[in-house]
Amino acid sequence: MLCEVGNYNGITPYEMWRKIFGYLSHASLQQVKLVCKEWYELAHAPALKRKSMLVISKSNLNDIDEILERRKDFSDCLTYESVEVRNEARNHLLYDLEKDDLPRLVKVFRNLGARVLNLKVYNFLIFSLIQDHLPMLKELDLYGAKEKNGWHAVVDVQENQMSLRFDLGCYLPVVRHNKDGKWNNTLPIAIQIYLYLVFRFKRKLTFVGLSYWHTDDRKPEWHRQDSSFTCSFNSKRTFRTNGKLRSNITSPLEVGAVIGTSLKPHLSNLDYER
Amino acid sequence: MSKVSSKKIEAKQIDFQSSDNEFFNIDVQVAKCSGRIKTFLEDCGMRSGDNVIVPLPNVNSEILRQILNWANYHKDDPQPNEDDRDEEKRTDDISLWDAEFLKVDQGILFHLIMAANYRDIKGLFDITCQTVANMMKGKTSAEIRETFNIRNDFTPAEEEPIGRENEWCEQQ
Repeated sequence: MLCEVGNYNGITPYEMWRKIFGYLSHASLQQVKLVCKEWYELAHAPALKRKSMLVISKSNLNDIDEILERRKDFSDCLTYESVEVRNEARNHLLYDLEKDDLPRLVKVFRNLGARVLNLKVYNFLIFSLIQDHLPMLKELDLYGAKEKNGWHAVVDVQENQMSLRFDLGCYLPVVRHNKDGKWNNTLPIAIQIYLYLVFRFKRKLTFVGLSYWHTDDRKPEWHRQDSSFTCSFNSKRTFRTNGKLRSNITSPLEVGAVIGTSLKPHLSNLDYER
Repeated sequence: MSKVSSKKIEAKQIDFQSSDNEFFNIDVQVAKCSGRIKTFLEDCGMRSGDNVIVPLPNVNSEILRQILNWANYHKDDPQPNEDDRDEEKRTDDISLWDAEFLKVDQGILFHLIMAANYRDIKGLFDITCQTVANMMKGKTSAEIRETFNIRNDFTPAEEEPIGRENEWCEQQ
């Protein structure tokens, strides 16, 4: 019995090199890009680009803007799924990106934002400026974002985009008793951004591992509370929260109450679910 | 090449015919290292006493000998799991035996890659590609060009923005 297995029409050099490049680190891929035009193209395969991220900072913002404006053919190469807007802490609002840089930053994101899946920013204001240009955003890392009171938070939008998972390893210094027993509900800008996201995606929102610090006037010590709760919006814009706080000092509703109160103007119904 | 039918086989062995018409009589178990040949043998429905000759018109005897050497050593390895394909890729998990086996010149290495890919010999394809990747590690673009004999077709003007782009990117 003689059987022909098939004629040779196997792997193309493209596939082979792509497979080989898959074993390389970010640093080696940087060198691969400079070898020849063909390899440059190959090194921009989405799977390989995922090893790298674009870091936008004060020092390269102008150059990036210029390249995007003048070299449209190059703009594809600057498209990365992961982008970080990096700025060194100098003052708590703008850091070293000056006010004048912000329109340029917005412009850059107008060009690059459409394919950004993961974004890291250190500043809530910056995020609020560029958020409209990030239709595909899946993961927002605000971990390094700090306000005066030491905020940090991670927002993880789940893959199917059916829900938003907010992993808040954050302090909520605003959640505390006033003397008359009411809640001080001045919201930090971070919470406002979360709320914006919830409204934008209009989907279920789960807070996981929320920890915050609580103090009361009699015992001026900080107590760390670990908790999680879920907020969701239905089509009638009813706000539901399902708290699972372990503590008896602070109830889940306290956080929910602060968020809920601030949402009131947007809601037809405010519904806390224990 | 002796006809295998002379020994009564229970379809346990088949013959490979290389492009330069050398015949290799091998165990089916070894042949099945190749996903493509495995499927082929199953589709064929080999019966006892069948004398199966598989011509491999793109593989010369030198490469085929190497592949069979590798397949023979690895014939009892667990079947690679389909799910592993997207596993994070590592270049440091080549066994000592494989590393020794792959101490061949570049031409043979690339022939092995081509053959391993075409015959769907996943294990061999992985380690050969890893080996080529290892040849690039820690090298500059100029050194890589030299290693693989590649001509630099960038003009300085084209090269410049790539250098800048590289500066703006960091490891994830």
